[in-house]
Amino acid sequence: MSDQDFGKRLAGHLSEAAEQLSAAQKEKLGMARLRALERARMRAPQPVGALAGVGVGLGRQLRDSHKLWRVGLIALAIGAAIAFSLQFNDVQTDDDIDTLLLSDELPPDAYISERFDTILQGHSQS
Amino acid sequence: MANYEQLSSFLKEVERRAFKQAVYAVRDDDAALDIVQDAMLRLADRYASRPVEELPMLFQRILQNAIRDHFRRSKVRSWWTSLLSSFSVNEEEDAPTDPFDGLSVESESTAFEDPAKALNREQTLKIIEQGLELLPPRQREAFLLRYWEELDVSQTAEAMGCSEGSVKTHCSRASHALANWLKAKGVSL
Repeated sequence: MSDQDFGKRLAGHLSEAAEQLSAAQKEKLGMARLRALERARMRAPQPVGALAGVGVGLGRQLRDSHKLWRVGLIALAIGAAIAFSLQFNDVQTDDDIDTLLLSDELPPDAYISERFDTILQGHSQS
Repeated sequence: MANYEQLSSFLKEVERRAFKQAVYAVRDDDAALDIVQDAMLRLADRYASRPVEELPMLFQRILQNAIRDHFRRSKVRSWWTSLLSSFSVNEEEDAPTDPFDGLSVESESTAFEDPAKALNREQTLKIIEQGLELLPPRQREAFLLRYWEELDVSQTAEAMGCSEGSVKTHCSRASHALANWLKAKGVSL
């Protein structure tokens, strides 16, 4: 008899033994299964749009510490993206002002000259 | 992805074998029940969304880890118990015992069977289970996963966290050890 045949025959006897559990053991196993299934049902994704469901789902996610890390990392990435975007907008605004100043007929230094107001008044009177 | 019904039928199908596997490993029915419950909860918690065909391998991996966790905890507990018992008086020796504690209830399936046949079958099963309990843990694990749970060599290797070669070696040694044990006890399959 090969190892495989021997193993299969012996497994047949073991299956028989597994059927001979006491009623209490069977009941406890059944209870354990139901508890596990309930846990799986709670873990299943909730339908989108149900605000309560989203809240409960989020609460459950936050309960697990390993998921907290993930949520923290995602929040950090979003924060970094927002900061980068704001900085990029500022740089773009500065560039626009520079372009306007350089394309003006008056040189930028003219605006800070003490005589600029006088020249401007004379220009408006004429 | 496994749905609720698939997970339910998988657990129902595997729970008794898982319990017996745990019993062979830890030799304590209550601890074995706790281990199976723990394994089921871990599977439901972390892997319920995995494809249904992956569940047997994942469950076996979790079950074997739960058995190992049990041994680790027992080791720590026995260390503390032995430490604390050296400071306390043993009260259990004087406690009254229930005379019906040792009696077991006859299972329904064997209730109306020919007594001689049933006894022979009972004895054969007992000898097989004793042989399994005597095997080294890794050999027993490989043997049960391959031939009882019907995982293939690669799935068994993945569940046990070892190479396929090791699985084959463990299975072969377990088969020979069990065959010799049964022969010595006069049992033929």
